[in-house]
Amino acid sequence: MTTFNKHQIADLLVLTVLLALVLGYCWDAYNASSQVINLILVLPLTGLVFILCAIEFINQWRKRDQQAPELEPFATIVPVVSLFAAYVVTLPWLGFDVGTCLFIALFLWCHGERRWRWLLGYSLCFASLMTWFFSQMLPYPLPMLILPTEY
Amino acid sequence: MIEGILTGLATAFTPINLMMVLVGCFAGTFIGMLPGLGPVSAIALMIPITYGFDPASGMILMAGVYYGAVFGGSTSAILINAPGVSGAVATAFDGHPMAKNGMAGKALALAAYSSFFGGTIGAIFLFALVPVLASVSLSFQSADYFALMLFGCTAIAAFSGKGQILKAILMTLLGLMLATVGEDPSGIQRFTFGMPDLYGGISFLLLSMATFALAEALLVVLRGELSSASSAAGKMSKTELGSLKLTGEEVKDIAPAVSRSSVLGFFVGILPGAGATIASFLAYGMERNLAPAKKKEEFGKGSARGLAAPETANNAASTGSFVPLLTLGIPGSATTAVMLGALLSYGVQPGPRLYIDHPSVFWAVIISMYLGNIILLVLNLPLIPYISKLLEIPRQLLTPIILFFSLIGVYLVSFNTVDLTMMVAIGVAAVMFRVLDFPLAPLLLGFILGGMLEDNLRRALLIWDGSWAFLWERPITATIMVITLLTLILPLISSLRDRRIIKPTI
Repeated sequence: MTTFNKHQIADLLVLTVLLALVLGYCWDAYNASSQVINLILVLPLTGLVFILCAIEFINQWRKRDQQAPELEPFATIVPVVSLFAAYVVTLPWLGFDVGTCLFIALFLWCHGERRWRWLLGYSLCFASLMTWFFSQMLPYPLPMLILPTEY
Repeated sequence: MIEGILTGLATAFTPINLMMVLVGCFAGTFIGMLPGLGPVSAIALMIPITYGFDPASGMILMAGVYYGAVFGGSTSAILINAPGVSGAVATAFDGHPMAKNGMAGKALALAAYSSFFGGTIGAIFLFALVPVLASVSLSFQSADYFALMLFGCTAIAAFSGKGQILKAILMTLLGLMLATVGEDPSGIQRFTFGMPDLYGGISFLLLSMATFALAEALLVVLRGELSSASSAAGKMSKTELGSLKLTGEEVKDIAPAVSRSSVLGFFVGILPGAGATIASFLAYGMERNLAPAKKKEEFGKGSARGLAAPETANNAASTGSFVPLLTLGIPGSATTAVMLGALLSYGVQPGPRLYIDHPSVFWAVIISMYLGNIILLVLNLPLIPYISKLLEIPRQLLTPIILFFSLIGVYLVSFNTVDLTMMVAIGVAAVMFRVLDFPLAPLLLGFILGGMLEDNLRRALLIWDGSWAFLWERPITATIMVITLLTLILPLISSLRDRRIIKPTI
């Protein structure tokens, strides 16, 4: 029976998503304008991506049943990505000062740092110094919650 | 001209302007070292500070910041594989593996010497060829630029490991497509989902931060390297770090690469729109193609040539990019575009009349650029052991800082959280690509070249009434196309020949 290893399945999934994305892009560009000048780069690129993906699919099919290196545990980055995404999304409300301080403290805490003085000191010092520096340097206001926003 | 140079020397050597170069180099190195902040951000940060300065002093400070940031960018590319500057992406290919192999000090010294050499050759050319170069770059038309961009795309072979060529081409194509996202010159919107933030397309800084700085930080988490100091620091002994000197053999090995790359870098740099990034990629690709088979294998694993070539080329191109700015008023790169804005804010109009109307500004900037190179060499070499100490900071502390700087770097350019959200999404995709051995450098190369490739192709077709004859009828275009084809075909022929040689022995 034909079996693909995890690495190959992930490879094929990425290629499928890539192909879908490129085809979607080509369709979107065609709908925007079907003039040659608009599609002069997009259409040949889509064709090339299609051909290359087909070749890669065939390559993976030929390599089925072969040993492959273990796939790295992608799920381990989910907490950090979630934390970083939360930092980005809450920036307009928390500002760079409080947002950065909380992000660094939580990042360190999530990765095993439990010395509260170190947690507080490092995140507070870095966040206040850096956000103050950028707020002074920039000719426009940086979103802040506590530190002054004037420039 | 001699009178102008003397005026420039008198302006550049005033105590206040010497101080400007020094401060600029220091500040530039520091800002450029922070992942996420490249020369564009560094110079943009300097504009409000220099408002009250006279134009010569302001430009001298910015030139110092520019060179400092270019060197600082290379430093962060070598030490933590986070090139905040597009021109330093190629530096990371071999610079970071060198650091990982316990030769961080040597890699930084090599970068400093190569930068200095590239800058010196660039400065000599600048002095000697400014009037001639202006007319040469003026003779380049859209068709020639299109051919040049296509030639740049052939460099992808240099970024793909064994069995990765297909994935490398796929990544280049994806980069080319991402470059066309947004509103085109005729107002057609592609893949914008109706979001006004996407009308202007995806910014290079966003893509660079997401695929390098952010992805690198996330990979550290993924691979469980947080609790240790950086991998390079772990392998690096103090004796190895202390040895910053290059051996005679190493100098002999890199000398031809450095000489070729400085000339290539300068000439690519003077072409408006080409700049340091393309120069560094081309130099890297050229050196890899020219290297003997044994040396070729070292590329991507810590080759001295692979580090020296892009580093020399990007510095020579940085000098070259001032030619179109100062003589034609056309910015040769994103950084010089910001400088153009600064010059205009001082009431100085760059262009062919600049060195007639403002000789002190024109020559003082050129002289200060070379002064900046000397200061960087004198300043950075003794500081290398201290700069390398950065590696000893535990990654647990460094990772959130890298994340912060990649975020602020993108925010400084876009001022909106939509770009930041996009950066997170692209960063996650980049980690997935890295895990599955899809090389990311071709994605950036495609992205950098994509916009220019499409614009120049469109323009060329308009000029030639929709005919493709420009590809063989324009001598410059035809020459570049022939070189492009040779670059693609020669490695194929050599690999086929290798197979024939190997076959009988099996």
